[in-house]
Amino acid sequence: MSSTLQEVIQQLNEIIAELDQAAVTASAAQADARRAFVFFDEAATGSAHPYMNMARQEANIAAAKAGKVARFLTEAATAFGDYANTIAPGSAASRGSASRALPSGEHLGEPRARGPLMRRLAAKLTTTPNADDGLEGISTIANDIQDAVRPGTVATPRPPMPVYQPAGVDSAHVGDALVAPFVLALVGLKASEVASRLRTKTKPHDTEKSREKE
Amino acid sequence: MDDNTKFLRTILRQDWDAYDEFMAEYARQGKGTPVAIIGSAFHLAVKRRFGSSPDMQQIIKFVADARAFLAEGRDLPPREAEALVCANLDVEEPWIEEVVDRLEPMAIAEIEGQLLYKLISDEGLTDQELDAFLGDAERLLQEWQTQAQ
Repeated sequence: MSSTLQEVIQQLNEIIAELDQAAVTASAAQADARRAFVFFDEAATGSAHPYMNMARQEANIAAAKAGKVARFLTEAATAFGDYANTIAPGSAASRGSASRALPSGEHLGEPRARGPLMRRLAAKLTTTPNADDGLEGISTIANDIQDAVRPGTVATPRPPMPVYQPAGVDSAHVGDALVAPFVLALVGLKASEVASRLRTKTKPHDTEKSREKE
Repeated sequence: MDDNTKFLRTILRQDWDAYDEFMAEYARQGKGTPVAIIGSAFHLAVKRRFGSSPDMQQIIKFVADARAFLAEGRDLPPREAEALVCANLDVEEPWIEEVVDRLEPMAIAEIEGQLLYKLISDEGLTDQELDAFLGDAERLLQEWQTQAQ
């Protein structure tokens, strides 16, 4: 492979890695937007306040857009991988088999080690029942799960990734990647503004008003 | 159910008090991460999830969802995760073999353990169903150990 082609392949692999990361961010943003929508939906029950309705609508839009972004980013990463392997076979993490179905369940039979790769993998894991790692591995697994399921944990939106515009991809899809975090930020701003106004309403000022009425 | 399986169960059930007890006992005995039972349980869970009509799009989406779920300050490598799912479905493409063959058992267990939690969590198993699943995983592991001899 020529050095120029090697550089191109290296850049393509870097792009694929960044697209993967952006897809994860978009998926996390979608999950956050859905939680925001549920929050606003519950908080707005019985309220016709325009800010609450706006916040609810925008959370819904943010969830839809973020999900769309995640899907497009994943498809872009797959397309880049296919392209890289077209120009230099075996050079990139191909996901071209997306269009090719894997064997059906009927052919898989009983769940036991089968092909040579799975036999090697099984042998690697059964050499010893327990790793000599001072419990570092299982500690990592447990910590990651505990952090993920801890109540009130919200994934911090990461800054927008550099945007690449692959050939053949509609620029609107790429532009959507920038929209999602800004919509979320707008929802966040509206939410804090609404919360502030609601707190103001429940202060003693209202209590005095109700006394005057009596 | 042996101790390694019970240890894994504490994580899948989020029984953190029992998990802490096992951590203390294993540390006292000088025992490490139960990589073998994690591997066989992951193999079974992958077959259950993708075995009927697996395709790469589903696998990529599952890994992306798992990474989003675990994204709070952590980093589950997507290529390695996808490769391990594919390997357990007997998909043997060059990139999958290259990735899986270079992974050490502990790295495999860390990735598979987190993906296993997501697979089991998605299924919403009862305690009985989880125990039955782990019993199957123990039996599969015994078959692997017999084949390896």
